[in-house]
Amino acid sequence: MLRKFSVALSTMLALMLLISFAAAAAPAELRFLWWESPQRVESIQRLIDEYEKAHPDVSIKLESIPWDEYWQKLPILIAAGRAPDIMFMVSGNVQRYAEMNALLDLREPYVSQEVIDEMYEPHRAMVTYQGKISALPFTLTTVTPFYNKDHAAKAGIEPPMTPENAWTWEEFKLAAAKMKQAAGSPYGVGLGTRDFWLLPFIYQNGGAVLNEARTGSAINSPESEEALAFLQELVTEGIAASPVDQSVGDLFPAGLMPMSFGGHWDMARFETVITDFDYGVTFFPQRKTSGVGLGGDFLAVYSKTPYPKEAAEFVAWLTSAEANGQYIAENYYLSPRQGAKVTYPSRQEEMNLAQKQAELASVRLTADRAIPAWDKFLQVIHSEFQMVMIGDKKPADGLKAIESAINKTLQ
Amino acid sequence: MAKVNRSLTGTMGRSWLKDAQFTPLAFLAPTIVLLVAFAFIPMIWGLALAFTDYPILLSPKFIGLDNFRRLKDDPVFWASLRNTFSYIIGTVPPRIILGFVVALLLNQAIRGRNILRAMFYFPVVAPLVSVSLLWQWMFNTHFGVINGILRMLGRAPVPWLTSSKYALPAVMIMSVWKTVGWNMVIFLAGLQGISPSYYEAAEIDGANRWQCVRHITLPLLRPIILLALVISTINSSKVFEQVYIMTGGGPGYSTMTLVQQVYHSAFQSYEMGYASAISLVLFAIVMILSVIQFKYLGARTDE
Repeated sequence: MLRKFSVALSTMLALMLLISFAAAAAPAELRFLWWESPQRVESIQRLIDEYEKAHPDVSIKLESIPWDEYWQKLPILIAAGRAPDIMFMVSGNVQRYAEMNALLDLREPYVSQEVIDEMYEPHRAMVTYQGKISALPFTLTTVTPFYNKDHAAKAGIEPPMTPENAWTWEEFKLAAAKMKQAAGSPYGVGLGTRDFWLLPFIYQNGGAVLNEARTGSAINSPESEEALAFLQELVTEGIAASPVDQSVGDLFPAGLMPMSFGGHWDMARFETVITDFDYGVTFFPQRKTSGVGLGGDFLAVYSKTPYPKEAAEFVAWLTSAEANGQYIAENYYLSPRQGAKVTYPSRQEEMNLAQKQAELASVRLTADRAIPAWDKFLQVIHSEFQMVMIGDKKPADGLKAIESAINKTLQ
Repeated sequence: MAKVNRSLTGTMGRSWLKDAQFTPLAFLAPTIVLLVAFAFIPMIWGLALAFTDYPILLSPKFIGLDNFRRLKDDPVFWASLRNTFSYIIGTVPPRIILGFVVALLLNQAIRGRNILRAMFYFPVVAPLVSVSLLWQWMFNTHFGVINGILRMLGRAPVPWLTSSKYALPAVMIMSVWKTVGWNMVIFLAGLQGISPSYYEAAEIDGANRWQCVRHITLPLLRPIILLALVISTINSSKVFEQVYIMTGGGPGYSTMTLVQQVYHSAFQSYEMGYASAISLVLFAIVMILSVIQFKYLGARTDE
């Protein structure tokens, strides 16, 4: 009887050991959710293949979703218990998902302090939620003013090439007006339609959307009012395009507008679609400071992934300068690692200028835009800016409405 | 007494079993299951969510009527509600009237009738996203064809999509163009169901064309008009894509609609509870409008 029992017990133990060995030998299967375009998917798949080759114990399945659907599908997948192990994030969403306990804290033992120290300070502020590092930056972005070289030459304008010579508001307005006239365009400049492009005017004038503690609004200030009045002046005088005009983005590459505020990543498209004229890059106009914010793409790990170590290691590798350098160069992004040198296929000078612009970025604007509740009042910021800029509302009234929305949300 | 009840129940049960037609039920079962799973349960779940704070990744928390109290003080909600009503009023009557007039004209024996019918129906099948982008360019203040025509006529260009005064009417124009064909087809089907003998008799009695339309066509088409009216109202109250693409809800809140606010609340603010509360209001509006339409047009149809 005892013998029979011993045999049965040994068999069971042997089976359990066999199963645990098999489980240990099976590769960690990571699902990676991504939102980029087909060309970028190809770039990232190359990197995945490279990583899998060096790490046979890890298998990564890339799932790509178009940008428009990404932010609907990601929360639904997580809520439905089908969360990816690794997910793509954009700047404003990192802390929001961290607040909802969806992101793994990537600090040691997963990612070394050295790697975290390589981030730009505004970026670090952006991914830090309650002292935890919730994502690692994959790319770095900032605003980039483009100009049509033919129009500038015709107007006798030489856009500034150093941050010290960046246009003041008055110089910028004059330059845009002159270029508009020289080009015979309906507008001198397209300012952009979203907070990333419009808020720097407030921050560079000493204003801010949120108070220092980020517990309430600070937007209703004389500095913000002055900035908004300047933007209103630009639009109502016909120098800048209306922030509502959805077609403005197409006017610059078509040669129909002399200046456009976009992003350096636009060059990936411009290099193929702009054939009739040459374009250049200049610095964002500035006042007391540069005031521009930083953005970018980030990679995060799902907090309840069964493979936290493997997923974090892959994210750390993918965001390292040696791995993502090619992706950054091909897509005209900036490196999120301080001191990393990137060689672009063309437009190296323009990208160097964009890099300098990024180094002047405002920590406050970048960190303000990253708070979890930002998207809850962003719609009000956009709508009130629109109404003020087209002259439907006074700057002071617009700021009051934004202040009220922010305070209601944060309280 | 209990004995009698048991006996009654037993008789009824057996009778039901005897009379039941299992074949249709068996065929209907998959549809019923799908409807319950994908329509009724989500609807009830949505209704329940309206009383919760639900940031999608965390569990819903019951907050009673807080979402509805918040609606009361939300200026964006009131702007969206106003715009949705304006959109319904500005699009439903033109859809019905134009659809009816075009159907009347294309019900005549005219040359190229089938081609014309296809042309009027084409916008209905064209993808909404594509036609929205197309109209966005047509409405462009500086480069659009509509302002080009106005300039040729010596008129000043209109800032169609960039002014809070014209943006909603511009979206309405595009939406009416897109949907007139659908109403035309519905009315054509109705017109072809009216016996020509009525018109022949009226002509013999000396009725003119307008009198024929007024006293024969319109009364006989009342059920069709009701159908077109209810469906057009429901569709108009759900307007989203064209606004999202052509104006993004702006300038300011001038083209923001209820469905767009639902989208913002659900997928940009991740406030599922608040989005559900707005959806519930929209549901109530559509329901009330449909009941009114049925009451006034449906009753007269039954007479």
